[in-house]
Amino acid sequence: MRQTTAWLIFSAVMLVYLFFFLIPLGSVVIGGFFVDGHFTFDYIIGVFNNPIYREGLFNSLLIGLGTTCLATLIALPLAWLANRYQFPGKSVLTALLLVPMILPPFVGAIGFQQIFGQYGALNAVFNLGAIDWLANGRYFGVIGLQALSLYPIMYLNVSASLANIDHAMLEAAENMGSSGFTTFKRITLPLIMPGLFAGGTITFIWGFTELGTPLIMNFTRCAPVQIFDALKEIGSNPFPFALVLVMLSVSVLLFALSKLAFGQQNFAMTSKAATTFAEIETTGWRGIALMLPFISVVCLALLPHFGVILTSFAQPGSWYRTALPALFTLDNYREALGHAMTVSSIRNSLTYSLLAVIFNVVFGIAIAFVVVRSNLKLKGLLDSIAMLPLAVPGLVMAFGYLTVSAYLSNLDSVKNNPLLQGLLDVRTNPTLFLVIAYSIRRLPYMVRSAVSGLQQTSVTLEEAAANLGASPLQTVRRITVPLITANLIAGAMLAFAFSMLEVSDGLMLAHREDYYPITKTIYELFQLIGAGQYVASALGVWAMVFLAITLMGCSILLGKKMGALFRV
Amino acid sequence: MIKNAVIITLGLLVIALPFLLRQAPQIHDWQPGDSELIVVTPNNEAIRFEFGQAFSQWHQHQYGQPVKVDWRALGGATEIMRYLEGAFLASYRAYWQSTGNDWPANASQQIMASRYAPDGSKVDKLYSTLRSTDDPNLISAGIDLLFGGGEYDHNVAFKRGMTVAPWSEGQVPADLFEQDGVSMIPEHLSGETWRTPTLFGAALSTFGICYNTDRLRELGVDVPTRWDDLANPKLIGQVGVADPTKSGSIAKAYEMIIQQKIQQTVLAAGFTDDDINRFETAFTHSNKPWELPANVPSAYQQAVEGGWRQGLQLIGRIGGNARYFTDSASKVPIDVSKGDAAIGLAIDFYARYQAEHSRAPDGTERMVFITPEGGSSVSSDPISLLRGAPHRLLASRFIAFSLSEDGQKLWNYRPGVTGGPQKYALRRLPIRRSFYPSLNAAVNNRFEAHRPHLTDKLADPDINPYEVGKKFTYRPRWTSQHFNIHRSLIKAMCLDAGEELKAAWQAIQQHGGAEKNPEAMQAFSALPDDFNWRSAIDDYSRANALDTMQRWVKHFRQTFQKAKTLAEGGES
Repeated sequence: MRQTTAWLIFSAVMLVYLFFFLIPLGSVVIGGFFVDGHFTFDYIIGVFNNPIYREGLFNSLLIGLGTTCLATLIALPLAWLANRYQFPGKSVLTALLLVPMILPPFVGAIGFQQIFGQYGALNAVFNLGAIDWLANGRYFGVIGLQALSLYPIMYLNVSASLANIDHAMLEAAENMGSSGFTTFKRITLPLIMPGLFAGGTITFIWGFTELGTPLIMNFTRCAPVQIFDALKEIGSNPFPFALVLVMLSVSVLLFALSKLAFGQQNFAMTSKAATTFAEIETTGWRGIALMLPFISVVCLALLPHFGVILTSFAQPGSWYRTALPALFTLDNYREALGHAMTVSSIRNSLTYSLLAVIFNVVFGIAIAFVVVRSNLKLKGLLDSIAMLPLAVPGLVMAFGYLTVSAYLSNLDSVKNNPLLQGLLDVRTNPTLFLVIAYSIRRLPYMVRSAVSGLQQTSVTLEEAAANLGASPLQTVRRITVPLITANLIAGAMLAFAFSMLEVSDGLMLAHREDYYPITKTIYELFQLIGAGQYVASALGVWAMVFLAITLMGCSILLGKKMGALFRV
Repeated sequence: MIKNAVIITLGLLVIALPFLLRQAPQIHDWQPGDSELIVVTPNNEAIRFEFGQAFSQWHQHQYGQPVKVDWRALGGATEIMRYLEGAFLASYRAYWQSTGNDWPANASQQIMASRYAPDGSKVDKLYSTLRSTDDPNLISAGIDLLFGGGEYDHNVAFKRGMTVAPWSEGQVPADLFEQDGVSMIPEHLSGETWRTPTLFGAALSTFGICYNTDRLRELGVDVPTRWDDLANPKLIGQVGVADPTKSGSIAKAYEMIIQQKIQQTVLAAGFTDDDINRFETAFTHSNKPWELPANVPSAYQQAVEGGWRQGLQLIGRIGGNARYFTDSASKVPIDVSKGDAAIGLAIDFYARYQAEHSRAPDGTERMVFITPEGGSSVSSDPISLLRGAPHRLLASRFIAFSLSEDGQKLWNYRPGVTGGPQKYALRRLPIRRSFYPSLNAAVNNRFEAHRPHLTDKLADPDINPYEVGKKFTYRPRWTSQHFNIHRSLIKAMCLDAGEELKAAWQAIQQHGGAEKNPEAMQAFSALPDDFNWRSAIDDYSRANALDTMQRWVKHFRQTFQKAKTLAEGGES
């Protein structure tokens, strides 16, 4: 890559980050440094001096690490099996593996409760009395639940990497006498390292900063819950901002360290898996044996989803100390889907998320190019900054965008210009800010996917194209992008699904009903006392089904089966 | 091919479903270009829908034009307050700079401070200018009204200069506040503010205890009647509690727990209600609430301070039982109704509504809500007019409508009844006196006219807020100056050191309970050294100060760890 092009992309991307990420973030986090107008490090130091915060950080680190390990243990074998074998129901099962990550907000907790609560289905089915799973679970409960919802990220990235492996390498290993596990350890594992690293870093940062699961389990001594608690406090407490900064620094530090440890090797293969290799066909009991791990993981991970689905069909109050609701009804759907807010919020969410994905694809590829293909000294910085949005709590970013919008909309030139007002004042129209928020916060998925794809693709392929007279843009369009399509699709799917499920930004930035995204409508329905949680569950299920069909449809339509989707 | 067709059909079907089920929008005469009113609110969609519809109809009837209420929902009261603060600051600053002035350093913090003391700096002029400007072209958050969110937040909004009075003296619509010689919307009751010139209570609520009947039976716990019952050691891990650090009205509920404890202690020390009235009157004449007037015995003040300490210790024990401290008002009753917590502290209307929706199919009650006798004040949920409201006239009409007989019907009338809500039963307590029985014949007649249409039995003395409020006498001297310090202390004790608190409480119960572990209990109940009723008043201003909080958290962790070790039979 030419140095000037690299600089150009680098500068453009940094400008985007400066305006759309660092300034909004800074406008909020600065609260951790100014007390009564004076600059101070007291609060940053205070974080480390306070044993509660120290413990919170340590616990979060453990949760992040535990989640990553467990998610890898779940995802890696499944991805390997799916890559290697053909078995009955494979396309549906592998597609179903992705569904657990799409648990709608707010009602997800109700799903958990209906299954694991003291009077929940689990205790009822096995007649266990009122065992308090949610209160006794704690650490391992949080790790287990998080791993079961985050392993799809790992699975998607690893599958993409596995699909890129040139099977000639594996065959060569076998020809030289290497057998099963040795080949996996010596050939496959090193070759899929970029995918593991991509999935691992996202899973780790996510697990490290996840708020929802610890809140459901009432596990309060971890940093994200401490930040959330302090942010929601009345009056101004500077600690959450100091804590956010500490969490950000820890995330970046760990990201940089793990990059040093795992990310420096050369994984590129000059030939990628250009031909479809024959998966090993299995039938009879072997086929069934292969289905089992997939079925078990899917069933276990989908338990809370079943909870939400059953709640959505339950007559209010009829699911109590029983395995299933005693009375079923369609009323919740009639109310939820028929509500005046629903149709427009679906349209809004689709608009925001699709625009965000387009932005992500373009910027993801651009950043990945600089990071992988350039010699810029600052490329490591760019790579780290691109990961930062993942580690910032949603509420903090939302406050940041609000502050920026409030500032801009008070400028005279904006105040007196309806067009600018519509763009920059969230009170008039939050579309621009929501798309920016969704894009920035989901960009890490795209960057990681694109980077791992490029790392696996040898630069010689691009050089060959250049030698044959192709312009750089032509090379990107005709050679590089097609070669990393699998990774781009994996990243785009994650970005789209998580944009559709984004909570904080929509809650804070969409003030008027006309602009609510679907998650805010779920929240509004949830707030209706009485039947609210049931009606909200119905809309949650709609969102879940829509995303499931999109994800599964993507994987089945594009490649007929998951394995082939990731083979280019 | 078939597979593809199936997937595409499925996808289309899912997308089509909401369009097919979409309910026809409400028929509304409003046209673009007609009047609009902008209201920011934490109230839910049901309240927004009903008030929006009813106000428009009322306005059309009264003034010949419908109004569209443009609701702005930004989450809970905390988020709204933060948003308003940001919006006003940005507007203040833009205005100030447009008049050729510099924005002084620290100005943002100073003008948003609840108490401003002029110090001769540049900020003085800025402060007085901003507080005397109420013109949407100069300063505005672009919003007309703040509706709901608790008296505490509205009071803060006023202190920060964000709200203004809709009517100057003599301009208040006739019959709005007083009718038939009776105050229809009192200014105070039970120590709570219901109305000031800038904030107007629209609905009322009380705090109480909700419990799951099945779960309590299984745990062998009697039906609760007092706040103390939440500290029953059989309820470890089973009490859902609202977080006092996240909401002013919930912090107020904790203050009531402490007030009731003081009341009990003083009575137990042999003083009567008359004594209390007499002594507290004597105190009001003095500026220093801690200095004993000549005719007040020191034993009385000792009982007050002892009761205060016991109140905090009771909260500590409730914290030991807590399943969680939540910021979500609806979580506790939902969890209790599902049996996922046995008991909890809840707001009346959430709990009553949830209780009804969680009845067994055969009608059996699973969750019950009670207000501990004499243990709860009645707080108001107000409306305030924001500074620089773009539609000031409409906004003041909205306030008048909400407080009027017509507006108040929405809170408790059954849906579909003439004058009632169209779709949702809101089931909240109206503030207007005429919705409750009265000795005044005219007022009582109006109540009797409402009675057949009400969803709740507002005449029931356990529900009627005017009766509930009467049973509780708030003594400002006891706790009002401790409000912030309570919140910080509870945060340090129950939230920050919550893990250790629960572990210690559990250890004490597992080893024979409080009576068999006096030493452990002593450590468990120890408040920070040099912290007492008197010093807490001085600490008020330092309530959230970094060093104080750290010291307290450290103290509680140590004492709870010590209590745990002692209970387990070890040396501390």
